[in-house]
Amino acid sequence: MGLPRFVNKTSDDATLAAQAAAGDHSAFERLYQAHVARIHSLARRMAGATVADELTQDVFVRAWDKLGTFRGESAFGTWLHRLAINLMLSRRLRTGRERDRFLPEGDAIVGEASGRPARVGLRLDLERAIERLPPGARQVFVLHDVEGYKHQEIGQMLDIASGTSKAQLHRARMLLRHHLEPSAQER
Amino acid sequence: MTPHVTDQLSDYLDDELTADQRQAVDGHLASCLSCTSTLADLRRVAVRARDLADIAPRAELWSGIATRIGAASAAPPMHRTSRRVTLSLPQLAAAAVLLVALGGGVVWQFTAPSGPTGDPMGGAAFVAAPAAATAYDQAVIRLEGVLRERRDQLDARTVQVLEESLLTIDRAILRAQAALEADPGDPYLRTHLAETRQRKLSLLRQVVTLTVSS
Repeated sequence: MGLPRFVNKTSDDATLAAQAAAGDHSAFERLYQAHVARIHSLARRMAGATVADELTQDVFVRAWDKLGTFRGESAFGTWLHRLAINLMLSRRLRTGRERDRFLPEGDAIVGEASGRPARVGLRLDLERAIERLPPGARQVFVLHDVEGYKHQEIGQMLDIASGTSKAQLHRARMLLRHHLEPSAQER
Repeated sequence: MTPHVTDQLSDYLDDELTADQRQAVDGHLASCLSCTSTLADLRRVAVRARDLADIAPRAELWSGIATRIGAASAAPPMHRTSRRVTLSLPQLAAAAVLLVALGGGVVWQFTAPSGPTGDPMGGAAFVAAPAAATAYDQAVIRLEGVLRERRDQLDARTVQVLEESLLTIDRAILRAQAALEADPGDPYLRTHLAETRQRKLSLLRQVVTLTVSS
């Protein structure tokens, strides 16, 4: 399974992971400092800013509990990333419901997908626009375009067909395309 | 002109089409500015997504994690994580019950006729020494800090029971430490002290978990 974005294998990580598995909290804190931005960004994109802090904490607590299962066969970052994905997906229904209280499917971003260009003044940056995607499209988009997973892998993670993953990705891209500020070359 | 190929553009971009499908899309794109423009948009979205930078959280999250994994010594003062560690009255009551049970066990073990003798505390109140404290000792200090902060919001009897339990346990551990100083080669005392401290650590983790799950 490919993880092109998150391969961050370092000997330091392996050493720290071994120390942490033996109960060394300071070693685990160093691992936290090294990986928290990556995990928090993943949580924010997958589940939304309102639950990203809580999810990030849960990921690291889970990682601490599961350190004994880390064999060093992959980079610690890869192992942590997959653990984070699994935890976030296991909660996606609950977080989806929480998010939908604020961002129903009929959100403005969906309306603009019909081809009506967004006014420049209302354009969102990509991070915010991702958060406003419908949950299914958002998760597939993050896993594919941000994290680099293949449709087959995403299908296994989300328990959906590869074709569904492709359709959700296309939907997400179509929704997002009007929310990008033009690049310098495009102005 | 052939029909628009909008629905196939992401697959085209990701090289997910068969050769025939790709050839058909290429043929359409050669004469359709609309689909060509859409494809450029989709490519731009994908490129920008791939290049998104990771951003550290604004909030300080480690202290909450440290508390939950029992690494209290590594965490900043408890008030910075008040959302996570607020002890409700029922939780304090549950914690008190657990600590009383453990405290009683420890006292029994160290005051039994066959156990270590002497009372190095002389009945005086236990005062923790932060400089010499282990991670576990500091966890106790932190919990006591929460109690002080929340005292006005809590049932007085609950606070009293919990504080008394903590005091009893710490006294018992100090007695064990004193006995070990007098007989440092005693393997039983070493094992027993380590196990007792570990039991306390596990118990405090349970209490913290109660606060986190609130």
